[in-house]
Amino acid sequence: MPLMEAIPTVSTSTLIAQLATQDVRHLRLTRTVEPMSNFSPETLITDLARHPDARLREALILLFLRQPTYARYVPEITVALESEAALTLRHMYTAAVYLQRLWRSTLGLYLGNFLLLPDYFGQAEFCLPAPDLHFGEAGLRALAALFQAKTGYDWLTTYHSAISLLLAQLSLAMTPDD
Amino acid sequence: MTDNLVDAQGISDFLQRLGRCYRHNGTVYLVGGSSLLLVLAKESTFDIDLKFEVPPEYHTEFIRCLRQVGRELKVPVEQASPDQFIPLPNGYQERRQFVGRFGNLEVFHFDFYSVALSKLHSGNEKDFADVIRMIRQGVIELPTLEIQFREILPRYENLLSADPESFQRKFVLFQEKVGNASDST
Repeated sequence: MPLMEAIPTVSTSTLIAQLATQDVRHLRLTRTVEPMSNFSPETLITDLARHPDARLREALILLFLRQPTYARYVPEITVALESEAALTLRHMYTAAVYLQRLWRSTLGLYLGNFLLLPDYFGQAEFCLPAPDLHFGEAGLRALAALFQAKTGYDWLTTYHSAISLLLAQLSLAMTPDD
Repeated sequence: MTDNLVDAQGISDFLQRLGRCYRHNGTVYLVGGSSLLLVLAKESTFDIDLKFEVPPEYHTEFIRCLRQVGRELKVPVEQASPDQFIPLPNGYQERRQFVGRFGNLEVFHFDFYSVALSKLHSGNEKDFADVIRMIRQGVIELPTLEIQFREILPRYENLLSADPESFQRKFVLFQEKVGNASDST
């Protein structure tokens, strides 16, 4: 991967602040960083996909679950990104597709009605099961196996951690203070 | 591509091989999908969840056998139990159901009410569907499940990791789903 292309446009702190503006708040800063007002969703997605820190790349899963309308930016960004970052984006987005189906009702408790993320890549590019097969679990496990074979990493645990973090955040936001 | 799925025959093969590999006394509880495969005529599950009780001196041997048989059959085996997530309702031990004896191992279904409450605590679509199916097929009864939910809630609130509001929201959502499922039949 060319190094220049892999560098995000802003600092990690700013990216975390930008994520918080999109209600993705699982990453915390030790100091206050003001988000940028002119930071587009496309730039946020692009910077996360390119980020060297896995926590930031994996935050894409939470971003798409929390802001499913951002799905509309994804096909164009994957074409523009360099290959490794594009693969990261397709991977994280597809994980969100399956997780959203698997946790649809519980997400609905907190988010109300939401857009179902279109399956851009799961079946067409990764040859994975349809999102609705076994409520998304078949696809999620197959996606994890596919990328575990490539990287040796336990992706299923990562996906489950992502949804657990999001649901915990959503529950916290809905629960009144004592 | 998909993971290997386990069916009822796969569970039976697994238990028979485990009983042959591990030669000492012990108790195995089937939990979740692997248990429901046998009682709900559910077609398949992705892994075998179980809890076990073996003498401490044979623990290592039992784990080795679990790994060996899981590898032979290409089945993921998970050590899992409802009490990892929720307090167990009163009487759970008496409600275990005998599956069979495999070598020196006695195998039981873990209490289905505990399994159902644990699934509702988790709250994904598959969990909701499993519990609705347990009610429809008479494995558990909704009024008893509601009583047991109320019974464990005060004890659940004492757990540091607990989120009682979330658990209650999911339980109400489940009750709505059961109602909708009944309306549509």
